[in-house]
Amino acid sequence: MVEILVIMAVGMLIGYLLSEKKALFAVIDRIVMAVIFLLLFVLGISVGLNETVVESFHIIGVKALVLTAGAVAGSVLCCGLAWRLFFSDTTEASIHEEMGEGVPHEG
Amino acid sequence: MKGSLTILCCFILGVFAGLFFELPAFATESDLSLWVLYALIFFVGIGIGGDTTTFSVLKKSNVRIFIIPAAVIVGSLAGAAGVSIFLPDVSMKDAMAIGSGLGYYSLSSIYITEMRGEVLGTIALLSNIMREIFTLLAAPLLVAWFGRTAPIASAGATAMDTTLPIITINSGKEFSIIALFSGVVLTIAVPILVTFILT
Repeated sequence: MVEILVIMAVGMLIGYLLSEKKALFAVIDRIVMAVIFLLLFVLGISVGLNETVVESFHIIGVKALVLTAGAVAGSVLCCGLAWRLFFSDTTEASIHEEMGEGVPHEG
Repeated sequence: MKGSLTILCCFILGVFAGLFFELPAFATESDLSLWVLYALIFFVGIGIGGDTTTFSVLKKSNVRIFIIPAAVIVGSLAGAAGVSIFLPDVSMKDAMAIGSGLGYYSLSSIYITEMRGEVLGTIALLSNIMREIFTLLAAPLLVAWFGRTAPIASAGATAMDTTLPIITINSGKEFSIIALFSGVVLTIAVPILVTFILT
């Protein structure tokens, strides 16, 4: 996992150094989408090639789906609750500040 | 939504390519996806590094930001343990191990295969791939129904790489640094959690 963090840090450093060149980042966004498409295609290939997965997909697929639903629902609810309890006021204000919007508070 | 459908089509095309075509050796080696992932992380890194406003959010957030990945871990484990009631041949412990994959399917499935065998490892692989694909497809709905942290929670560990662009588009650029931070913490947490739960 160290290499992933290093690659990301190098990318962030390069991005930081190039942050003046605004036109470049529209191109970067397009490259990111293209690479995501490629990654999902490659992911599909590895699923299609894995005989264990293909042959028993209908049995273990249902189990996986149920577990995914549980984990996703649990994390979404727990995270939403945590956000409401610990973050709501301050970060809403700072986000508006960030966007450069004048927040007209009533009263 | 157009982007998500294109993503799903790419995945399905890949499955059919793997099933029905003789692929050149470079396409079937598992290293390829790793290199594509490296390229993706690199370009995502450039995008984040070039966006000067995201860092100021991190500065303002302080230590509280750890609450987000912590809540994702607690929610994922509790949710997976809860639904294991409906799966008589999956124990609560095994369900929690799969839930602790947090979308990081490559690592968690390898770990679980080694510790619990092929079947559970394959369930872990599928479950965590589904988590990533669901996040990619449903991010707009998650934001609309459960708020802007919802895709970050659903993404789990993938919030630092594959799902980060989707989260940024749907939750807003202000949330991308929180997503990245949560993804990094959860990615580091996955091998620790899986080992801890299964031993």
